[in-house]
Amino acid sequence: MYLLTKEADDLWIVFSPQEKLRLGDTLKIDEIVAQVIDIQFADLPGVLQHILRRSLIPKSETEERIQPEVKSIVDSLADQKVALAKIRGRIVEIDDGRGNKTKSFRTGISEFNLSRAKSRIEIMRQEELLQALGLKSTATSEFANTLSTEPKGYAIPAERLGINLITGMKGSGKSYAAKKVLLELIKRRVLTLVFDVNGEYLNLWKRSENEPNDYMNYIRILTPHLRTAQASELPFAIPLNETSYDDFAKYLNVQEGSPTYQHLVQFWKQQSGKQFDLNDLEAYVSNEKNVQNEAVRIALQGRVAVAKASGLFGPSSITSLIKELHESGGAIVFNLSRISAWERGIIVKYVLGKLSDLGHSNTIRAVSLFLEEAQLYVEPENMVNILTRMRHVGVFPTFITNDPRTLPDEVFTLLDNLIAFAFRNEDELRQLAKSGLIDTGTVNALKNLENKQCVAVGSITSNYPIFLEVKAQPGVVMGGESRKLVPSS
Amino acid sequence: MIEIDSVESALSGRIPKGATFRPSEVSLDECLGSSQKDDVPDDGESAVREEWEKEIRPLTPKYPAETTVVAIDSTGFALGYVPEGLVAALRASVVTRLAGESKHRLERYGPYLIALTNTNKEDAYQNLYRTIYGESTASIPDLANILDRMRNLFERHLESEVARHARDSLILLDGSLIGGTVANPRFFVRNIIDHAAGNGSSIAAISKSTRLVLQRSRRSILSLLEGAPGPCYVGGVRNHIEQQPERYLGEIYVTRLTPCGEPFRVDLPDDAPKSHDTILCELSGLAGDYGYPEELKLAHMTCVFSGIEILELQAAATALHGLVLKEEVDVRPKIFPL
Repeated sequence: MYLLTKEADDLWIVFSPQEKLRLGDTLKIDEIVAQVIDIQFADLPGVLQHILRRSLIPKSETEERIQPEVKSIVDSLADQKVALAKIRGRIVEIDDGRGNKTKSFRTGISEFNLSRAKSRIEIMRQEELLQALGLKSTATSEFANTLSTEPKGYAIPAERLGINLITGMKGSGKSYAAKKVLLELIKRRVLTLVFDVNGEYLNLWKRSENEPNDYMNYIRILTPHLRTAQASELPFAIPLNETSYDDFAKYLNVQEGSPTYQHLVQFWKQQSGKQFDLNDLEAYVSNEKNVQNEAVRIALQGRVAVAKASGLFGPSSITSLIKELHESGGAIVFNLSRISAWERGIIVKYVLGKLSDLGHSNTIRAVSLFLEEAQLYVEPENMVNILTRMRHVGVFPTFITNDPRTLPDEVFTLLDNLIAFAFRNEDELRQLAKSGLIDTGTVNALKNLENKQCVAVGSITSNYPIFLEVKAQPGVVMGGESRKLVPSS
Repeated sequence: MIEIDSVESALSGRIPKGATFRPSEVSLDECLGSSQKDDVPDDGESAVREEWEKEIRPLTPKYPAETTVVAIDSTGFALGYVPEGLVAALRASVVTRLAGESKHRLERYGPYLIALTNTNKEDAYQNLYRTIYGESTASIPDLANILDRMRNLFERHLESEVARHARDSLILLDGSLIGGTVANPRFFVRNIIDHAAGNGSSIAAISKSTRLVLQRSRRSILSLLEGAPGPCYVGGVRNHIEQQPERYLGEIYVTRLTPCGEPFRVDLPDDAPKSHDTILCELSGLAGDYGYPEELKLAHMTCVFSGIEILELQAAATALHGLVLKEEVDVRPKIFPL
């Protein structure tokens, strides 16, 4: 390998077909560390004529007899490649003052003393890189392998997860990776609440269609409108006494300040400190002494009837479930896949409010919150609220989306970690570059990624973009409940 | 493919390891390689008397769709120089279009690296000469010409093999049908012609340039077609060559194969299975740009070396012979920077 040139923080490195180099490899050029983000053919003068002459007669119609000693070198020049490597920083030796020296990674380079002729270029061993980054690599790292000439296991440091974005185009493997992160969090005894709009997480507690796995005791699926509990799936309802009159009014489209609204306020005041449900509200509004105006009474009765018919309100053990799984670690999956947008909005708002209350009261220390395609059920201002205020009560969101443009800019500004899978669309790539965690050149490398390959960057990688290939997860049904138009034969 | 094991082994030539190697300069966007062909006896130009009634006859192009066409060409290039010698590369192409088909097939032989020095050149040349012609030669070319001679031997071998195996074909050779020169023994060229005729194949040897000149004006015989319109030819040239006409083993024509094409010399054996007129019409049918037969053009373009290949071969030669690169420093730009 030879250093060809440097443009800004890009190094162009020429290498021969015998030298193996791939996207994601980290190169050590003397003490400088650069990462391969693109590989192209070396643009040699005359190569077009060379290829055109070769293409005069198709390969299939050509037989060649080449001197054996020459064979290995024929086409080696035409196949010379150039790797575009982004300078990430350098490796420095740190002395702890007691004579112990360790190698550490530092971003940036203030000196550039490389030589085209003399600088030694080598592929940095992944163990060495991960060690310099303060990251662990073991053969048993279950999350992913590094995408490099010599792949090594990469274990996601769950303690460094904060505000996270897992993104990639449809079918790129982002949901699979999100589920793997979720399982890792369960192992680390963290509670995660998942808003599952596509029914992606419903089978995580299964080893096969009919057999549960070790996660069964740690995963609960909460499904609205479900009559009775089935295995890990529990009915979900919102206890009326845990919702405010204002929220209830908003859910049922009661105008603030109207006589109907006033009666709701009155009812909630009467019931303050007590357990109550829709039956109590129904009894209240049906009593002419409470609601004298017939028109108002009829309006309130209508709203109660709608609330009852929705099946969303009723007794619930959600608080105790959160407390229980907060202790043991686990996941509560809110199955939002079969309900209307209106119902989704109510449930999400309720759950976020519940988390906020539990956080404020220090009932919970910290929980993780997975929001799949959040734009479908969270207003942009509420997303900002999740990012800013909820973090202070210990709620750490992970956004999972196939279109990063649907997320407000604040997500990218405040992001701690980005796990980005393949994208082809320039607009989406540009949006990712807003995060500041990743440069445009590396973002462009996403175009070349295969299924289940990604770039992870942020606290979980000590801010060094690491190309990864997510490993298969044994013993867990990772697929959701999506159906095929034509079943495979 | 043609059996060339014995020729391949005769093409080797070793030089001492560690010799310094001064590579030839290469421009990457050029095609490189020489394929200079003898078309007159060894003593230079040959004159053609002009006092005969030249009849310029028109050609009617006829594409020989039902005839197999085979074209052969070769190239050689001096990759660089070692003390008292050179390292070179040879390559040859045989392009075939089978009867009734429109696609072309390519058989390509080489590149072969040969190292030639004053010390080994005689053995190397004799060895190859004997392998191909079955006899020795007293005439060893000097280093300046040896590469071209060895390339010529290699090409003759392939021509001979094609003539022995191709049936009912039109065989296109690059060059002439001269025999009896130091590089082209008469018997061997005669054998090529006879084998081809025996297999029902016609040979046409086409020269882009010639050293046959008109006696008085000293202009090339290709000027005979100046001013003549359309595809046409003039024959009977051989009968008016002054020196050693018997060395020319075929009738010599000057032809223009397409309306706006260049004039070429075409040698056709006397005993060809088809009439000369038919062969010339078929050549006209095969002619593409500049009036040159497409198969020969392909044979040439697929055997010459690109600048990229030359650099690769220089690297291979360095590795194979354990050479030490020595870049020749041109002091001129240093002395005269502006």
